Amino acid sequence: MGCQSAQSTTTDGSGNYSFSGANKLTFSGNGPTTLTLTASKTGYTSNTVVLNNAGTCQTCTSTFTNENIALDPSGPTKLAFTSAPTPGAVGQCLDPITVQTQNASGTATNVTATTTVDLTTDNGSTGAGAFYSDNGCSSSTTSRTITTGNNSTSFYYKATGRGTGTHVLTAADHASVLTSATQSETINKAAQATLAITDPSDATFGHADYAVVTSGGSGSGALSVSVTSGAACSIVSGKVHVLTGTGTCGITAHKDGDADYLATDSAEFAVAIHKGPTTTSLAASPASGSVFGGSVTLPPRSQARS
Amino acid sequence: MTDGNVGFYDGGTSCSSPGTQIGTAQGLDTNGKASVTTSSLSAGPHTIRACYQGTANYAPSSGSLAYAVSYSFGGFLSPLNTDPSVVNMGNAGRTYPIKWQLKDSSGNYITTAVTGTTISVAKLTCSTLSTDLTDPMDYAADTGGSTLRYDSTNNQYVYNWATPSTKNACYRMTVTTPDSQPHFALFQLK
Repeated sequence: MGCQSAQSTTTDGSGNYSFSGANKLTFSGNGPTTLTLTASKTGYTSNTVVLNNAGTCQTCTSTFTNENIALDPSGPTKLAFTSAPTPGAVGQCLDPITVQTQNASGTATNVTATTTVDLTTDNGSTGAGAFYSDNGCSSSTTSRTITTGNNSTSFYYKATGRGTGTHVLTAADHASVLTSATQSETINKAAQATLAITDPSDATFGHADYAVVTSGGSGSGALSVSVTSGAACSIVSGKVHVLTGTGTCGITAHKDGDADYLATDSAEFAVAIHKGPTTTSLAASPASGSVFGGSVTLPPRSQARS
Repeated sequence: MTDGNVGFYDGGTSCSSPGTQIGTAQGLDTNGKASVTTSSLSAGPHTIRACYQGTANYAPSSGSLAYAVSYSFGGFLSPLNTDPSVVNMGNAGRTYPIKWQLKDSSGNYITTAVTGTTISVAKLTCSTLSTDLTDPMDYAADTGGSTLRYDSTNNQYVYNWATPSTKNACYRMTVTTPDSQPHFALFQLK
């Protein structure tokens, strides 16, 4: 090489090398005009810096100071969530969540030994949630493994209780070598299962009030029923009251929301209210028959039949 | 149920095919009752039907009743005993007048019941008759023929029964008047 080599160096406590005083690297003669410096350290990835001499060797017009050669550790130092939070609802299996092993610079870095990542959730404080290994959220898990030569793992999360609506997920190195990572997932209230009224489809005027039978709905919200069309019925104490008239009456069920579910309404359900049955009984007086020309009184009694 | 009207009918097969209406349709009272009074029913069996016509809220319904309107029959007149359980004792081959009267509810004689009256005689085994109650028939000269007739002088129906000549025979006579009522008389002929 055409330049002078350093005569001596100093090293600080952090392992940084420096040249000072007469111990400088200078270019001399008509040799190369570039100098490549390579730094290496056990556990770190080697790095280089190239110095370019702008003048001739004799003049050595270029001087260089503080030309640091940064050295990064050769393995990962931390865990990081690389999938963006995706809002979901109670009971919903969220999109896959990915955790990556990274170096200090945030670059994906393969692990050099199998790494177990422990998964925990704060359950949204008062809600509930769990991790799963499959996208149907049927196989629960509490940890995932990153094998040698890889740098990420994915899993799924499903909240079964909303709590505050924010579930903080934590990915931690089981060996406590890598720095842990957290990510907040927004959990919204879920839509209830379809609420429907299934009975009574037929009612009879004058009958005792009919209980309303529903299906579906979710959660603990209060259930109520109201008349939404027609005037032939009313709702009394949650039951269909059929002493108003005959014809068709439309009723709709409503179920309030709760901590986990939104409120919902059923489709309108038609109740056909038929005429009340009656019976007519007939008697005569005198009952055993009469003599021709005599008076006969016929007193029937008509009654609603339940 | 206190609303709606009831129609009354005599005869017919149903409310949609009723017979003769009795009076006018009556509204139900607060007890769900309605009534009609009639004295125009003919003598004989009747099917009386009450048809509740229904309302906007209640369905129609009906009830019916078999009802008999009969003539007042006071029993057979002399020479027969008026009690139908008594065995009238007589002689075979003789002719006995069988007499009866029919009246309406006011006591007026019914004079037109020859037509529609049927008379039949059935032979009985005498041992089946109780002889505890017997009454010998006094002989009375029969007048007129053996055809049923109405005797307007005495206001009675008369049928001269020429008894069979078989001795020691018993019979039950049934006189069915036009009101479809059967009237019985028992006989033992020596």
